[in-house]
Amino acid sequence: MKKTVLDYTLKFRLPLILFIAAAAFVVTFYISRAERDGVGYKPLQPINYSHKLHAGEMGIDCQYCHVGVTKGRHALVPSVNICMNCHSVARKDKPEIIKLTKYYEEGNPIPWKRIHKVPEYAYFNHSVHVNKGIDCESCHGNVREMEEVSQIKPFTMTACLDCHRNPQEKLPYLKNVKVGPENCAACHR
Amino acid sequence: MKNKIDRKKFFVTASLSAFGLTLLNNTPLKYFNNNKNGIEKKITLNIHPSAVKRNK
Amino acid sequence: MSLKKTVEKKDFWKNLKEYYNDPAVLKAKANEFADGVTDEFNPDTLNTVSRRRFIALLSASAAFAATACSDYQDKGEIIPYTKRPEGVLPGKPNFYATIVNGKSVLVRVREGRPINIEGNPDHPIYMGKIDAQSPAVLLNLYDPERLKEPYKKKRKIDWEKADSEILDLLGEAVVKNKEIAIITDRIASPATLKLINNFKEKFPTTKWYSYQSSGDENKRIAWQSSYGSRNVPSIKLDKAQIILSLESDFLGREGNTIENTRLFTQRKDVMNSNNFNRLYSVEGAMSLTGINSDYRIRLRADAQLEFVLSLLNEIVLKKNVQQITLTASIKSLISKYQLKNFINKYKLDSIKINYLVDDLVKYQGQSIVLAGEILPVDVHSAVIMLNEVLGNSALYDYNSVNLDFHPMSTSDELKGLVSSASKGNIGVLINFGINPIFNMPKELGLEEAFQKIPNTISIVESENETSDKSTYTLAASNELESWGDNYVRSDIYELQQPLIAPIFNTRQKENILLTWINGSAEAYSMDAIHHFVMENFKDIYNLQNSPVDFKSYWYNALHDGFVKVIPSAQIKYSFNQSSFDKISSTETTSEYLVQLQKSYFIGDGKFANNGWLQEIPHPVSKVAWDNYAALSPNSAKELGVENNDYVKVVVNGKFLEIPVMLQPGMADKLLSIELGYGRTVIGDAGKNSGFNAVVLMSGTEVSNYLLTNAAVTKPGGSYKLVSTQEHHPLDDNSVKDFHKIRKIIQEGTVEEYKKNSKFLHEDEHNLIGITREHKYEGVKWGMSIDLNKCTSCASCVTSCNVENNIPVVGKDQVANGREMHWIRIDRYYSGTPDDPEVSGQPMLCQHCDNAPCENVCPVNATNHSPDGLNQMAYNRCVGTRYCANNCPYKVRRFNFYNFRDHFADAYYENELTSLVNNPEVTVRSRGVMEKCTFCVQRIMEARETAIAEGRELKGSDVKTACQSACPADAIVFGDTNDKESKISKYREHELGYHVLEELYVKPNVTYLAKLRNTHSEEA
Repeated sequence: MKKTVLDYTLKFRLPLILFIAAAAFVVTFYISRAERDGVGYKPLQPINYSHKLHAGEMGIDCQYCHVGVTKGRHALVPSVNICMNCHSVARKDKPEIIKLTKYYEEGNPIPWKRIHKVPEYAYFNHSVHVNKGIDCESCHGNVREMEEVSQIKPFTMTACLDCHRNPQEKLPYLKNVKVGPENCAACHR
Repeated sequence: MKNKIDRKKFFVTASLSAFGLTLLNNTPLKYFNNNKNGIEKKITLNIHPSAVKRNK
Repeated sequence: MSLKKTVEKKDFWKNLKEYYNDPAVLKAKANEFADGVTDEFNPDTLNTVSRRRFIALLSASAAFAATACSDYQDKGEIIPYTKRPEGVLPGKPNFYATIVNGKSVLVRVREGRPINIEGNPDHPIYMGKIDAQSPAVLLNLYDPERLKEPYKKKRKIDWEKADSEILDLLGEAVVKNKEIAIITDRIASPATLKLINNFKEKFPTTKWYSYQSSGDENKRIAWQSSYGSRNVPSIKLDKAQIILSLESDFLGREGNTIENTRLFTQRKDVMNSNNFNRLYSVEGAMSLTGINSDYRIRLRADAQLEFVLSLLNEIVLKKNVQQITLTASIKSLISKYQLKNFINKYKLDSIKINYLVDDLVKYQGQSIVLAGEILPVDVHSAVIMLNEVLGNSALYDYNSVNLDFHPMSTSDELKGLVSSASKGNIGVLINFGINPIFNMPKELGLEEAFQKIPNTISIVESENETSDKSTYTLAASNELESWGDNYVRSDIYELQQPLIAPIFNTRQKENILLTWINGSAEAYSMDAIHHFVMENFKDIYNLQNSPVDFKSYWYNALHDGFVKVIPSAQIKYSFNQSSFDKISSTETTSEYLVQLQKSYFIGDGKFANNGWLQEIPHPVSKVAWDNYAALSPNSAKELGVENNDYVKVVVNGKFLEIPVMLQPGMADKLLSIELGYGRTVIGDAGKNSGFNAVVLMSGTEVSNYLLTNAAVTKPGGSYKLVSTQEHHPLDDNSVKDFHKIRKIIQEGTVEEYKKNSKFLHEDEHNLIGITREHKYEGVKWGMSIDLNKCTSCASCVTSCNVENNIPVVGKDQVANGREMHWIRIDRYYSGTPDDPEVSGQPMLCQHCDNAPCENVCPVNATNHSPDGLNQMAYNRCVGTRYCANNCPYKVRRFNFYNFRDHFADAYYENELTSLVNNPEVTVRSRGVMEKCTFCVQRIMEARETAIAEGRELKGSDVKTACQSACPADAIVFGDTNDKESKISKYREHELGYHVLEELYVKPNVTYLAKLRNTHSEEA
């Protein structure tokens, strides 16, 4: 039988195109996964605050600024008056500090870009984790070494459940740590 | 004669409906509200500083 | 000759040449394109971009631009405070004690917004409990239709301008000797009282009028004449073995219902079944108290006086009981009334009446007779006499007296107001927060007189019928934004503090008055009223002999919400028998009686725009969003009306057309109508809601709620009343007593229980399951509801609505059965339509161990938690509704619409109302299923606290919203794995049963069977 254009298309072109499309999709999907889960997101902040300087070199404790972390659900980005505790005097001639003081004096809130966000249908509670002894670095990475903070771990449900199901392995510094809750209502209430 | 679908009518209906649905789903219904009293601009909330709080 | 020309082919011709078949034309027809037409066509000279290509380029670049516009990783901003206020931690609630709706409450505030109202736990009267109306006041605070600015003649005006203009008007009125009339509600606040007196001093021509559409004025008047004081002592209901309620709905809407319910149900404790009290209810209309009574006798309210006198005759003259000696004239008065004749005249059940008389005699001094607020003064006087004769005055608590600061205006005084206005003698009228044009009897003619007053000022929270006609409408702050105090009972002085600064440009109404007293518009400050209340509080401080300084005492009082006041002297009243001589005739008619009652939830109409309260179904008839005329089935048959049909009621020339709802258990020839409905100047929620029965009230007797000689006819037509429960004839055999047959309601009597404590489970068989049972380690949550204590007051429904962001769906959706209440109170009738036995049962998600809803969800959105809860993951739900189909209790509610955003009139969609939502609970969107979660957010909060404190979670740490609201303590919640806990005791109790147990779904809500305290073993 004479081969028509239709035969040629169906036997070669169509499968080839489908294969290329599927391969491209799969490869892109897996390679971009981390980025799509937010890993490596490092936005530009309105003020060039360096965690490496404050938390790393100067050794200020995380909880000095992030006060809500043992008390409630939110860790709380510090309000400007906490910064001004030191910066009303310290280095007040530096350009970034002048920017900071301007925000404080005019009473304007600083629009920090949010980096770590659990989706709104999940209720994440900081205090139950921190009060069990879990270190900030286990989820947020080594913030003390970061000039600009970026997200280190993916904040997907899989990542949370990995730790919940296997805390002894993921959190070796804790003794007597029990398995975390796996039931829906713990987070999706 | 076989009944052919009127292609033009079909696509016009389909696209207008899609357009209408997206519009209706995305405009908040408050714009259709006849009660002009309820539409608000911004509200500022202030705590009352003199209130005395307590534990539960 | 036929003119028919057979034409085979239609032939058209365009020109004459064609007609004549010119060959040139024929050739042209054959060649569509003549030669030479395309000679000058050169494709290279065309535009290189074809139309097709242009559009393709256009759409591609648009798509590119769109994708480049946003960073998909962008999570928005996170913005902290600039200067964080002390004590405010975002994410943690703060609690404040204050007064809402006249009751001492604890308000939960999140980030400056009040979001939940519960009872004040330290308060000795409320003990942390709340009623059905008070938590919903939040929706009044966040009502988008409330007044935000002051208005003058419908145009906005500045406060300073309004104040200075009004000060001029007030001054002018004094100079010209014109009356300044100020109309208020009943004032229970000493600070406000002082303010009004100061106002009267400053403006000497002021006359103060006070009016409420329903109140206890008749009782107070009777007490004044019998005891010389309007301060009625509270009653130690928990010490009463026998309670006789004569039209007194003390559990539902009279007096302090929270305390009444708490004390009453203390004597319905199954753990102490020898101590049950017995309630006799003698009433015409079916009330909440009536459905909780052990014996109910139907008697029209206009026959009550004769009844009490007949009882007095029986008890004093026949049974010879007189704990006080009566005068001869009184004895001769009561000798005219014979109980036997009375029973025959009104065809009452003589057995029940004999039981009643025997009980009152046997338990004299340990019982109480209560007269309803709608009954006239004479009945109250007679009941006072009856209580004295029986020695029940021992139950009067003189340490805690219901104070009364001022009498309400009499009918004559109100008529005086109207006539002064008509004559032009009133210069200024100030409406201090009420709605007299709507609430006062139309017969008085206030509305017409209003036009004749040159300056009227209404200080109200939202536009109402009175402010609509007023010159100045001054926007008042809500009580959650106000300072104040309350001195209702003589031993407790309560304080009110604002929890949020006024959201809009409103002022507290007391503060407005203070500005006028201070004499200048610039003298206003938001804090002025704060200082006034604080200064006024010094009066109490000085009485207390406290070791601390005033400021500390004041802050402590605000912290607690109240202080205990030690009364200076022991109050003792002496009974004046001569008041009894004034009792007038007891004639009744055979015509219809119309009884006007206070609404359970709408108040006097002030909550008509409150969606939550409109949607809570009436406790007895389960009608929502409207009022109606309740009518007995016999009378309805006589009139030929059915449910929803209109009746026309004519009383003394005044008429009203109102739809009818048949009510089993009502006395015949009686119409019972609730007030507060039919508002016309009201927001969207309250429009077209019900019928205004105030039109029937008499202008000559303002506290007369019993309208005799009413003519009732059927004009035809009907109105759709919606109710959340089916209404079917009681004696329809297919459904008669099905709730008892299917063991949904299981009941017994106290005698039966005493004889055989295991009577409930005698004919039960063991159920076996075929699946492996789950093991629950740790905490396993369970609940028990004691049906002996539950009075169907619906406090649990309101507090669940407030806690869990339950949307208001409106009348049309309620008609379709789509109300979204997670807990509902089912009401069942058994017995006959004339004398039904009513059973109420709160129904909520039973959190079944073998839940039939869990295994049918195609997307596994609902499953079981290791602590026994049935979980609901809203984001997984696709809205199949298979789970609701399977639920045998029908407690799953589906969001048919996006009630939050895309619903009818966008009720919720404004900047303000969404502030009422509890941030701990997801606000559900369209297409998801929801149901009671056992307040999982509170369980999580308790867990968080336990982890922070480094201890294990205990069952008693968690109180669900319904449990903490219930004034009867009927709901018990806790850890069923803890064998010492209260819930375990109730779960194992002999009277405990599960609804539809035979389905083997293993529900975790145990109901305790109701024991009616009747004389025999049968109910």
